[in-house]
Amino acid sequence: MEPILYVEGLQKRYGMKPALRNISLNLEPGHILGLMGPNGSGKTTFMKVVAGLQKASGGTIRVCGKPVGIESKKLVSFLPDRNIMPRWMSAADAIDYYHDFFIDFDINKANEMLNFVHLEKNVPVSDMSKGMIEKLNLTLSFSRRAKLYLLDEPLGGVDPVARERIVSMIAQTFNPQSSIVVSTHLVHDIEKMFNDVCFISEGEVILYGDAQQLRTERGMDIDALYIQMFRDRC
Amino acid sequence: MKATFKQEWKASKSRILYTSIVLAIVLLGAAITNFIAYETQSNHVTFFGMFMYGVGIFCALAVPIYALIRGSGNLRPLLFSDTNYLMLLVPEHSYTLLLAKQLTNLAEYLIYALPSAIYLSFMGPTAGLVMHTTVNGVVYNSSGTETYWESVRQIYKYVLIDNWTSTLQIFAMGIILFVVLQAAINCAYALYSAFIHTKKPNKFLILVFLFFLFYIPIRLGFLGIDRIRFESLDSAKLLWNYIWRFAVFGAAYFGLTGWLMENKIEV
Repeated sequence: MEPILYVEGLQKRYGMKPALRNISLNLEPGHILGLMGPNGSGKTTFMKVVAGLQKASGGTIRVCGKPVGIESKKLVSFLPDRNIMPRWMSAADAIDYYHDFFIDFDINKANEMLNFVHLEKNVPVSDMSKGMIEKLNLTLSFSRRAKLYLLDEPLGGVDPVARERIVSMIAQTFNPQSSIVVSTHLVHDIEKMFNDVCFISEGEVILYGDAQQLRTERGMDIDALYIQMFRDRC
Repeated sequence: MKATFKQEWKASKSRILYTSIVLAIVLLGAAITNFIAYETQSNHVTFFGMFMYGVGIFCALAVPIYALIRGSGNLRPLLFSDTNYLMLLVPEHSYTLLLAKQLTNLAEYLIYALPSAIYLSFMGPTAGLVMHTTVNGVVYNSSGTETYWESVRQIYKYVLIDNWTSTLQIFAMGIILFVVLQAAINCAYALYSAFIHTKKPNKFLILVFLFFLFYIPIRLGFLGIDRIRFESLDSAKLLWNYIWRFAVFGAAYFGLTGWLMENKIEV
């Protein structure tokens, strides 16, 4: 079976400065990959390259066998680490926008999710709190029947209650035919969801493997392992 | 394409509505003030009317130009703000996005320019208060030989019946020049974004890029600007000779902008 995400020898440079060095990983359907590393380690760059917002300097990326481009954008749902909705838009406008552009967008699911996270449809983004914007962006991303979801810091800047709701929203709406890559610092809140984990530092993969196997082998949870791995590097 | 056009329209419609209202208030205000001055021959109202003339004509010219410079295909939010993620993640080619944005901006320009022309036509007959003259056979005076409404009718007859082919050609040329300018401004933005990576655009450098986008074809002699003899510009055929050259460069700049967005620009 074709992996959802195939990355081989991925490199990305900003001028002379390397941002990603020789990254290789595979993601099978139904898997959730935790992409972890300190600030500036290359997590966001990796996601942007896979989403098609930045160009790789070398290596191969395929999403369901398709190289990064218009066709892969149809399969990838990217949740960036910032608000991307214009301030004039309301949740209803944003849903209309996604419905117009993404053939896999499920408008009923979007409405259900808005109810689930208690978000008003007619409030403009300019009047939303950070947590509300996060929920809106997550609603939009997960209302697509995409093959690959890229979630860049989905829990950043939201309170613990909203965080718990977001995690349960991800778990409830996850389709086993698709895969998710989640980048986060808040490992403890989300680590139970991961099938695979990838620790990245200075653009290089320093640990990649099955989450349960790593827990058993190292005798600690992923949160503790993360602290151990990065304590001396940060 | 349809989706992009629809969403661009949604994003622009409030701005277009409010700007159109301001434009209508200023220009209709100027037209009404000057109509009253024309009818009453009052010196006080005439003085105020002259002031309103200045304001009105400035708005009629400045607002559409502002629409061009500020909007120009609304490329700026696509390159220099966080909302660019939203547009660049959609499965559409850059050329489609660009075209839809430019068409929306062109529609915005026409929404300002066409009503402005209509408002100005109602200011035309009272221009005699400011300048006692004859323009292209149309007499502007306040001597009372012609009523206000007869003068308005004469303007429309002159523009839409007697000289409709010239009007149509000037209209077409205006649209082509607008689209070429859009393409050049967008190209300047795209060149800046592709080669100078800053979060906020440096307007001076963008102007430098824009200068070179016109300077290069002029220096190459392709536009033929240096060979224009202004006394012969009344011939539409000659004007078209220059307009199509501009159009070729506009198409090239549009292509270059789309290519830069597909291959060079990163957010």
